[in-house]
Amino acid sequence: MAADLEAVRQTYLQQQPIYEDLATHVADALRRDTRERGILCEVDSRSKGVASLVKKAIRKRYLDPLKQIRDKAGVRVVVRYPDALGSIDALIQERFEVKHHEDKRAKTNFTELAYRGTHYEVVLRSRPPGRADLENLICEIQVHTRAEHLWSDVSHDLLYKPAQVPPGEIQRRVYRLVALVELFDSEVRLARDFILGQPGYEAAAMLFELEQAFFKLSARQFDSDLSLTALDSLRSTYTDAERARFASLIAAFVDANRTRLDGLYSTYALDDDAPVFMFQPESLIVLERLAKHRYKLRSAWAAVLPAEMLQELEDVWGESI
Amino acid sequence: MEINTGDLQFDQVIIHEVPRHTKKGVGDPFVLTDMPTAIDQVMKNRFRERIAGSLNTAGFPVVFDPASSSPVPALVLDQLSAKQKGFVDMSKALAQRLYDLQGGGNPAGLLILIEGTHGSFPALAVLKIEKEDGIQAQPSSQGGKRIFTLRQIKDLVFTKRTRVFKVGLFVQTASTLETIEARVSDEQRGEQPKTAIASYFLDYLGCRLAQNAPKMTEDFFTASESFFARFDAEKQGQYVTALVGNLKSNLPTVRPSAFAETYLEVDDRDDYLSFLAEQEAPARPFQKELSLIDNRLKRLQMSFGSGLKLTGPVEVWNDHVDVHNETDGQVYVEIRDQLTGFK
Repeated sequence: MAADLEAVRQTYLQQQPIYEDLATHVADALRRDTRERGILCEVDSRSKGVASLVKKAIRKRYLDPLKQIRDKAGVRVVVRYPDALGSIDALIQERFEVKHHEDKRAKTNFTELAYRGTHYEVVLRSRPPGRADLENLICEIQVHTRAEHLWSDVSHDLLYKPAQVPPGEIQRRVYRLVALVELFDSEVRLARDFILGQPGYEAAAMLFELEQAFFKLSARQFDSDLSLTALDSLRSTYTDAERARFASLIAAFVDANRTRLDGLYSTYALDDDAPVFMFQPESLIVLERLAKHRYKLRSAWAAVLPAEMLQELEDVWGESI
Repeated sequence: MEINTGDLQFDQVIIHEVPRHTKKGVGDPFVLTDMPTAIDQVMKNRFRERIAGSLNTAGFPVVFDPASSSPVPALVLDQLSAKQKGFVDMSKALAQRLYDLQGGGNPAGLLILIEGTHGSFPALAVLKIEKEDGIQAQPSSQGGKRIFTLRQIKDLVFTKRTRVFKVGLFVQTASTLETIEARVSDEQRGEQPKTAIASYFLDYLGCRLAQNAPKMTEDFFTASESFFARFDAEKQGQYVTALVGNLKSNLPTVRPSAFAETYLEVDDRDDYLSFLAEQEAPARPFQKELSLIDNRLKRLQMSFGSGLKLTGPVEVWNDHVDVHNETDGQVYVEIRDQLTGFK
C-alpha cells in the first residue's frame, strides 16, 4: 500500500529541526576532530528539505519513506588530498557508531566508470546533554575528494534533476568524466608530493606539516608568505636527519606540551597585541627549538626577522629560572 | 622546585604610588591605594610577558635572610598561605615599608603587587617600577594633506622596549618561609653596577642571593675550560682568552648565555650551555666572585707535544699571540713581541 504522503510530510515537518540539529552536531564534532588531528578538509551539513523528502518518496515508491530515507541528516566532508581519506575513515569509525558503510571506490570494478565516494550511516555514541531526541537517529556522512565532490554535484544536476532520465549515451558521457576525477586526484597528489620533495620547496613542505599541528591549536588564518620567509631561514636550525622526521618532531612536541600550548593559544586568542608570530604556524618551530637549540634559532631568526619578535615569543613561552 | 616563567598566571593587581623623599622631608604626599586595579586578560598577558622577560634575562635565585628585620618575608608568607591580612592590607604594608626604607636618592615610582599562581602553587610578584614619558606620533590629515601630529604622554608604565624595573617573585611550595621559591631581577643597574641586585631592594624584600658566588664562579670557569678543550688549538685559544677576559671584567655578574652569544660560534652555543647544565655549573646569570680562581686567571699557558710550553699574562696574550691550525693537525704559533731575554 502506498504511503500517505501528506501524513509523511506533516510528520517530517515536525522532525526536520531535530535532524537539522543532529547534522549540525555531527558536523561540529567532525570539524573539531579533523582540526585536532590536522586533517585538511571542509565540512558542511544540512537536513533534508521537506520537498526533497516527499519527491524522493514518490520517485522511489517507498512504502515507509520516513524509515527508508536514510539521509534526513546529512554531512559532507571534502578532503583536500586523497591521502586524507584513511584518516577520515578512522576518525568516523572511532567517533560514531557506524551502522552502514559503503566505499564506492572499492565496489567499482576496474572496467567500470562510476561514482566514487564513501558513505557512512552513523548514530551518536553518546547523546549530547539534554538531547535524548538525537539518540539512535541516523546521520549520513559522505566523504569526497574535491574532484569527487565536483563530479557529484554536477552529475546530480545532469542525471537526476532533469524531468526525464537522459539517454544512455549522454549518461555515458557524464560517467566518462569520472576518469578525469580519478586522474585529477592522482595527478594532484603526485604533483604535490613531487613539488614538496624539491629542495626549493622545503619551506613549503615544512609549512604543510606545521599547518597540521597548528590547526590543532588555533583556527586563526595566518600569513603564508610570512611563514615561508621565516621557514626559509628557520629550517637551518634542523639537521638533515631532523628535517627527515620534521613532522613527527613537531607532532611529538605538540603532544608533550599540549596543555601548555592550549592554555597559551587560548590566553592570547582575543589579544590584539599578541606577539606578531604567535598565530603563525612557525611559532611551533620557535617553541620546539627553544629548549635545546635556542642560540641556533636566534641566529637563524636574526638573519631575516627582527630579534625582538623572537624575544616576544620567548617571553610568552617562558624559561626555567 | 623549578620556576618556569611561562607557567605564571596572574589574578589581581594593586598599585601604590611611592613618592620621592625630599631633603626637607616635604615631597609629594604618600597616599595608599584602597582597591585592586581591574585588569583584563590582555593586561594580564602584558604583565606576565614583562615579568617573564626581566626574570628570564636577569633573574637570580634568592632566599629570605633570617638576619633581616624586614617585615616583608612574614607578609609574603602570610599572603601566600593564610591570607589573613588580605591582599589590599598586605600591599599597603609592603608599600609603607618601601616608602620608609627609601632615601632621597631613590626616585619616585610605583609599587605593583600581583597575586596569581605558578601551576598549582600560589605566587606573588612585587614590582618596583619608574614611570616614563613618551611621545606618540599619529597620522592625520589637515586640509586634505597628510600630516603627523605629536602628543606627549606622561607617566607611561611598562613600555615595550624599556626594562627599567625591579621584580621579586615568590612561589609558595609548602607552608614555611624556607619552602618559598624566590627570584629577583633588577634591570635598573646602570652601566657599571657593583652588585647584581640593588642592595636596598634586597634589604626591602628581606632577601639575600641564594648563590655561593665563589663556588659558582669556579664551577663555571672549570666547566667552560673543559668544554673548550674539545676544540682545535686555534678556537680553544680564542674561547679561553674570551672567558678569562669576561671573568676579569668589571661587571659584577656573569651571564653565560650572553657570553656564549658574544664570543662563541653559533654552532657551539647550544652545546656549551647544555654542557654547563650537565656539569651542574651555572648556565643562568650569577654573581661573580673570583677568590677561588684568582691564580688561574693571571696567566695562560700553552703546552705542546714536543714538551715546549708558552706562558704569559692574560692581558697581553691576544695582542701578541696568534695560533693557526695546520692541515696536518699541528699548529702554527705566531708571536710578535720584543725579545728581552732567553734562558
